[in-house]
Amino acid sequence: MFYHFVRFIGRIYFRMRLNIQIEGEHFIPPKGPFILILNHVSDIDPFLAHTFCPRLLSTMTKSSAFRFKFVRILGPLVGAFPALRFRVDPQVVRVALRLLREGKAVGIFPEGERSWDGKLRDIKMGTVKFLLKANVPVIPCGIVGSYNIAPRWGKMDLLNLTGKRETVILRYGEPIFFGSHNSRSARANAFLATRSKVEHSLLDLTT
Amino acid sequence: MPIYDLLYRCPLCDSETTTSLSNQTSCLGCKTIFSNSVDSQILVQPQREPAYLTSARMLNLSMKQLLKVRFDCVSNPDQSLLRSESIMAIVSEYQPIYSKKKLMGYTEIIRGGTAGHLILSNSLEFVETKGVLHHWNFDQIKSLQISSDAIQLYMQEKGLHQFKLIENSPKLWEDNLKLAISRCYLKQNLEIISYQPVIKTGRIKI
Repeated sequence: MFYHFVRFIGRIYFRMRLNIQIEGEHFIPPKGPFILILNHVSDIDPFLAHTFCPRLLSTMTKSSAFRFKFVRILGPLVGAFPALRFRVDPQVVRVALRLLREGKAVGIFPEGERSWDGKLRDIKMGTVKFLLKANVPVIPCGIVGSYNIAPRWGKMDLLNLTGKRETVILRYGEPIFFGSHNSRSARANAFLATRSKVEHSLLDLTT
Repeated sequence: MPIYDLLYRCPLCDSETTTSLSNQTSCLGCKTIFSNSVDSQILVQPQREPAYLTSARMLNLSMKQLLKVRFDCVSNPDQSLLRSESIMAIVSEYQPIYSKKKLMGYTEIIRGGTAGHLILSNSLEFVETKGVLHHWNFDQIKSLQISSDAIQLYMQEKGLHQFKLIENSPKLWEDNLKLAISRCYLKQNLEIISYQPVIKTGRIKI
């Protein structure tokens, strides 16, 4: 309920502040589990993804964000769950797999952090292994334009009294099926091809 | 983050830059001014040449080249390459996060901190204001990342150390440490494949 309310407020705000364009929304399945992978170029990317994805998303979020009490309380209510970035975190994999088993949508920023220059960073190895283990459709989503509004080294003009609404495009791509890779050796064999596929799909959607 | 966090040194002459404004920084050497412009471009205003617009990517590439040159020019291995006032905190506890009574994960708890200086030379050192010295070899650093205005390092058998930088950019430390660590492994004929969540190396193929 709270999540729906936040999305409602977020939609009003972002629609007033930005010219939001959504492409390929039909690729999002109306039900059943899937993983949404997104490029990360700006502070506002997670908010855009959670607000405009047709399904409610649960997204891996850096654990340090949960140091703040309001994030600890409100974060899980809007689908954020913590991922430790400085060591292998088996708990985040367990939680993500559990959410997928429950038929939910899981969001991942596979670069692990925001890009400094708007270009796609290297895809994290752990994310690729997780995609192979999960055995659910993977939907790439390119966020275009948010870097121009709030790059990592700048900040967003929240009100923007000039009246100019910058365009941000959320572009969903065709679902990718990586198949079942239950063993470590199967995942190791498929690793390079999968990483390349993920990189190319995000590059295609962001350029 | 202010633009200084990206342009912690001048991409044109490698001098230090100022931190006073969030949307502008200027070089203390050649006096060039760098400021945020429309559509995430950066306006470069050299003192004696016409101003021009460029991208963060171009300036970042130039800075990385200059950083490599600076590392190559160090003749004395004990010479300090970087020194920043910072506050060190060691993470010893993790707090569980729940949603509808289900465990969702953990967050690190950072309490207190010790003021001092973080120093990069042929190893990494932290000298407390009281004079206590902490020392780590580069191969003891198992993970490296930026967290807001701090750099977080996971030290072998000693856990997560966070260094909150008082004035300097965390990217300055990330770029310098990445280069220092990669050169440490290079001596062992190893190259770094990834820095997160743990530093992974592979043998260099000839």
